[in-house]
Amino acid sequence: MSSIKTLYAECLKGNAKAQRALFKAFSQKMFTHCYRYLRNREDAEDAIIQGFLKVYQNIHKLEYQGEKEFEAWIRKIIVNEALMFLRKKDSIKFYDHSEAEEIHSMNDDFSRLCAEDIYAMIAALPTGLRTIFNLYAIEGYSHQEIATMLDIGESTSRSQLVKARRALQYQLTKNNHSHEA
Amino acid sequence: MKPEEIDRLFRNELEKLDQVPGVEWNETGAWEKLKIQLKGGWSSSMILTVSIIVITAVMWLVYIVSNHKDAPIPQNHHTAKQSLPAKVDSINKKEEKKAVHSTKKFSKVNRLPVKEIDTIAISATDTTVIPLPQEELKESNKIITTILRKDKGIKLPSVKSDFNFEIPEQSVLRMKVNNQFNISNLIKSIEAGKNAEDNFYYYYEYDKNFIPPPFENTYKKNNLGKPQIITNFIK
Repeated sequence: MSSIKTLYAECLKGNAKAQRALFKAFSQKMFTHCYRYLRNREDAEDAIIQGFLKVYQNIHKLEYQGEKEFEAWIRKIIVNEALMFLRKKDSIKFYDHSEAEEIHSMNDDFSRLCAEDIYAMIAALPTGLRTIFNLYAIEGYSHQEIATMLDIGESTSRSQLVKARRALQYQLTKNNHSHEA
Repeated sequence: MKPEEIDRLFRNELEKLDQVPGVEWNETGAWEKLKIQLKGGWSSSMILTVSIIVITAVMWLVYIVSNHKDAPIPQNHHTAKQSLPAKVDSINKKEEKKAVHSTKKFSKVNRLPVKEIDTIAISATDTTVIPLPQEELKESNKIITTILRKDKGIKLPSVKSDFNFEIPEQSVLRMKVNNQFNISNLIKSIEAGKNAEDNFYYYYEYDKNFIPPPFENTYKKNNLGKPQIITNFIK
């Protein structure tokens, strides 16, 4: 715990070794998050590099409150970088919200599904649905925040989330049945 | 299962994941790229700073040099004081040497005190002809005769009859037009001529019985168009 705090303190001084250690400590995890948005190794790597550059350049703006908060701050920067990549590529396409339907409650047992399956299900979603689901369900942003971040309406964000859930539900049921079989 | 439960399920499962399934994370390669960008970022800012400093310095130098060129040549008091007299002295010495040499040579050959005031050439090149006022020429003659009398204490029957320094009205004095052209330099030249004439008096003093032969001077223009004294001994 204290080592992350030390790394933070050393990074504040611009210590290259501390920067390297910080990168080693968080880059793998951040790559996992980044890849969930971008679904492309090269893009995710570039986003990580640009994100950590911003981390080092703006670390003096952060007041260290704990490892979790520090990690959340890094993660926020990395996610923003990933969104910037998506915007640059203009790959966020949203479905018409009129098609959105509420998900009916499911009573299936998903305990047999592993994390890799879950990750693959999200990665299989179209970019727009995936982005909204990631931001809302995983990162915990509100629809208002998402609307601002992606420059879309709140209703679009809501409808895309419903669609994403529906698609995931379908995948879950499909996978669960295949596991049962 | 409520929609919020789906979200929670996905969130919890994803938190367990530390790496992307089926995709390797090249941490070292990414760090190398990041390191280059980190160094590049710093060095570019340094390059920018250094180039700004260099450009400012160059502009300042150019400004100074251009001002220096436009400004009048600085008068270094010391050098001005030292170099000019030294230059004048060296020119005067050369001039003196030249004049003595020419008059001595002439005197040795002719054994006559001949002086050509009007042909004192300080410099063959870069010369110009300045008509000397007649009054000034007469003044020069007076100076010469005074020097001769005072130094030698020899009674000369008549300066004019013995040493005819009268210069034809059309004669000109060739002097280099520069800051050495003044009456003192003219006198120096005349004194140099006088030294040549000492040869004549040497004979006169050596042999008290020496009687200078009677002669008369005439004027003739030489090849260069300068008036020249021609002494004719009267036998």
